[in-house]
Amino acid sequence: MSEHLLEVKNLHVSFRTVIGEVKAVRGVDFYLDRGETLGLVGESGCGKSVTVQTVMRLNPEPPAEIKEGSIVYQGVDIAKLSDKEMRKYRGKEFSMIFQDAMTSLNPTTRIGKQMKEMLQAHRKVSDQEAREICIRMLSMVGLPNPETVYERFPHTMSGGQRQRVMIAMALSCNPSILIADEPTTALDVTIQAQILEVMNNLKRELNTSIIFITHNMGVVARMADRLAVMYAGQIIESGKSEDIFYRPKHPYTWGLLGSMPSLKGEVPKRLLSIPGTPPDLFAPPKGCGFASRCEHCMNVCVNRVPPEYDVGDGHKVRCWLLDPRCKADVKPPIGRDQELIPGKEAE
Amino acid sequence: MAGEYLLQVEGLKKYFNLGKGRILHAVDDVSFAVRPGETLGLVGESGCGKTTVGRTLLKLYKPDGGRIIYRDEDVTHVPARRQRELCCKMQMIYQDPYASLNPFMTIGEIVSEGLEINKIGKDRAERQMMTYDLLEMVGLTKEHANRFPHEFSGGQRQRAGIARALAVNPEFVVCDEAISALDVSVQAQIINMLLDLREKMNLTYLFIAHDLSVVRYISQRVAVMYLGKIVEIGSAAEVYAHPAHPYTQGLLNAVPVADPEFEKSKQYKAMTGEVSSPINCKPGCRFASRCPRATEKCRTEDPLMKQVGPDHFVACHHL
Amino acid sequence: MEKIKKNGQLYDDTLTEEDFSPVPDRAAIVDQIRPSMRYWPEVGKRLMKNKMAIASLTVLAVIVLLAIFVPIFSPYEYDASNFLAAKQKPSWAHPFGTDKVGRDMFTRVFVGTRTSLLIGVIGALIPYIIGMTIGAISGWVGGTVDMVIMRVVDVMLCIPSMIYMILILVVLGGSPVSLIVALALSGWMGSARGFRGRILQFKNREFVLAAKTLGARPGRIIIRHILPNILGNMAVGLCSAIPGAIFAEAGMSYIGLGISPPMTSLGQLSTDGVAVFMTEFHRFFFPSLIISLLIFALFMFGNCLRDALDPKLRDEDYMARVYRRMRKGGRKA
Repeated sequence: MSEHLLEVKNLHVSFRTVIGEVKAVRGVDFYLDRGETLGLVGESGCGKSVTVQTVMRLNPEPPAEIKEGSIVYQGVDIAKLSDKEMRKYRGKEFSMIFQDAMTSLNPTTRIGKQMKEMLQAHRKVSDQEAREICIRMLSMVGLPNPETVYERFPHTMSGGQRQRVMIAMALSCNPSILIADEPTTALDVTIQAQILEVMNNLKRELNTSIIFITHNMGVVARMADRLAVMYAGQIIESGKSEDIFYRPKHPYTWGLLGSMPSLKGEVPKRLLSIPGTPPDLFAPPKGCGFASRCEHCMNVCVNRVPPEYDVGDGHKVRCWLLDPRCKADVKPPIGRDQELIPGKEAE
Repeated sequence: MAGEYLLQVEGLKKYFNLGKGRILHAVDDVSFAVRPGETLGLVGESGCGKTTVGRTLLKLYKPDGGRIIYRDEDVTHVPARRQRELCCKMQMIYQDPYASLNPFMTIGEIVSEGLEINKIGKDRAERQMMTYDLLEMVGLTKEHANRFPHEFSGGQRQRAGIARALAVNPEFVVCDEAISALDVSVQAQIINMLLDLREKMNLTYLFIAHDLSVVRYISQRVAVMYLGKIVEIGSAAEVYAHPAHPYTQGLLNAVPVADPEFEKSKQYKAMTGEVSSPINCKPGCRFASRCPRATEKCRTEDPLMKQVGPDHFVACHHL
Repeated sequence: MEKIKKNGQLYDDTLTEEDFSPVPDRAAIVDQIRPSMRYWPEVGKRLMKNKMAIASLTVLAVIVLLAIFVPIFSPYEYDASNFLAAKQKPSWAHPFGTDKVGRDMFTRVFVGTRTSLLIGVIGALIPYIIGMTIGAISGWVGGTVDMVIMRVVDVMLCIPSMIYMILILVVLGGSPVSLIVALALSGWMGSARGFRGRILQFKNREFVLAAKTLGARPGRIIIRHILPNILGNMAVGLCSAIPGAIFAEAGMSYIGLGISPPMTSLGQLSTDGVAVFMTEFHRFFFPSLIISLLIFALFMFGNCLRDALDPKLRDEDYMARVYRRMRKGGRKA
């Protein structure tokens, strides 16, 4: 078996709350190779943030609890490490940037001081060296006058600038994995474009692997080499970016791709829409999480979780429609490179 | 021309006094017109004043200048009673389905409030019937009427918000970021429903959004706003196919498309610079600080709207 | 779509053709709506689960019932003196003893409780309502009106309320009515300021704007939309304002400006008791005990109410909240 940089296997994470147990992540498998970007897409509450926060072991335990599964990073199972041991990994090996850069930065401390502290916590460098590294990082993320930025307070900067600072800070220890949790959702499109450019350039220069979480299919199309689509705490389809976009197999992926109008091509007559709302994870459905909203739902879908079917080339789909015993001939309504339902082309 | 437009806005201004001599030019000399039955998309980034335009049209803010003409009647400053009558003609769908419904009222009470205030329907029973019809129209059932907003998902709440706005049978509806707070799969439901309702009730929308692809999908005409001013306005097909203003071009270029091959081969001309402040604006093109083509003239002189095609107007010195 | 076999084998051989036929009734499996929770019943339920709330409520109920019924059924009048039975220690005939003119202390204490409660509740409610009205006007109208009202409030808050109260009581004399007037005039500023803040907080909420676009008048918006949202907080505020008013009355009695005899109040009884503290301890002990119990129970109940009102399960999607909390927790780590 080939060695992956990070491999998550059968991860189950639950949260204990006042009114019961939330099964936020229910059996997630994925891997990440060196230098690649994995896009993790899904709607709010599908468990994508919880998954990566578990990889970082950021969720306070309790209430969070890793029920099952392993997270193997360079031969070490992170899921079993204590909080103290984990501290060596956080920031140094894995870094994370969040959607809201304002709350991630301390408003009472200068940018430079925050960056320096973070750097010196992981690397033995003198104040002078630390300052040089920080300023180099700040200029790498495209901030003009990095020396002045170094002395500024977070609130004097715009959202886009703060997000750049966050990226600079996250990459200053040269981590091997950068986890980006909706880093551009709160930003305007023009600023988003700048940030995405910065991330792509840095990835190339530093050979960092990125896990990029978003709900925006356009953003992952630009960023991701591989893609994992999450729904109700499970990865329902994963594979190469092109496979997912051009040859999607899961009805939820069809809905996700077809529900957003595109800037390119003809304006469609009607958007594909998925009826209903995602299931409540206090009482997750017995079978496929998507069954209640799926127009091709079969008896088996309600009762059993579908296994992962390999469509080839690492493209994996959790859907009973792919089982050889399924007689229904369902044609995908969407996807450039596949046989489409006649007259139901969405793009 | 009389009767051609449902709503005309001429030189609308709305300033906010922030104190200490600082004045926020939220909407500065904005003009546009909407024909009956069409949808005008109003796009722009956060803080460009698009929400303020919508709210000023409905008099949630008092305009500081300009005129609002509705069906050939100047409604910029009208007595309170006439304003309340106008409420039945112009309505609004709000952005946040969590904040826009009063948590202490049932969905039925929320939807029927407009009927009650404006005395539509002759008695309680009739209003209740009308409420049920409205709920059904937006894809809810009458069993939902006795439930409270927190029992619903975001999409269902937004449906209730739409039913509330349509209860008074309006002609003109401002959709203020009506779908941006919703999940992706739910957005499509709501967009499809808004389109159906447009057909069915013969509505005219002012569709305010920051998502350019949604606006392209839903609108016949588009206006692009930047820092309180409209920089480009025209038919959606024209503006999206041949954007003339550098800002529109940059904006369209920046939107990622759900097509990896296209995305990875695309050349990004990332817009440099930061948005300048809308507080105490100086004369000159507001976009000059980020514009690749900016000259001395751009920094000192306000550009005027110029026609560049049939139904396509742009405010830029370089055309 | 092409069908997949893994290593030429099926995953699970027990599945039948029946399993792969479409679901007959899709409506039956479509997700259910969450159970209905109404706000106030829910608050009540949470309150009843709290032992402290039950205890304080019981104490309050007992005191209120005693205050109502003891004076009615007592064989003694509260102001009937009986020199033959003066200065008695507690006994079966006089559970709280008698005072120096032989009045039954048991009856007097609960007549006093009645007065104190009345002054407490009305004396807290009236300034509250006045403050609310003024605060609502100030917050809703805004601009110059707001500026002027708030400056008046600031100035009035700068002067200790004791000064107004003494002034008013000296002019009007010591009676329950003048005490309430004094409390009302000196106590409205705080609630005006608080209520103004609340109005400002809700004035630009989207549901208030929506009501405005529907043509609702300010009165309707404040009563139908804003008031229900702050009722809980107001109830908590009121719970802590009542002890304040009771204390104020007691304080006034202590400096001789409170209720004048033979009418009585808990404050006045304890004041009398202080003078004979060494010789007739019961005359000090019982009124002080009741006043302490009353105030402690009111404060505790106010606290429990605040806990019960905590809108953890309300206002927004519960899941969204859970996740947000998890994310926040994550950032702290």
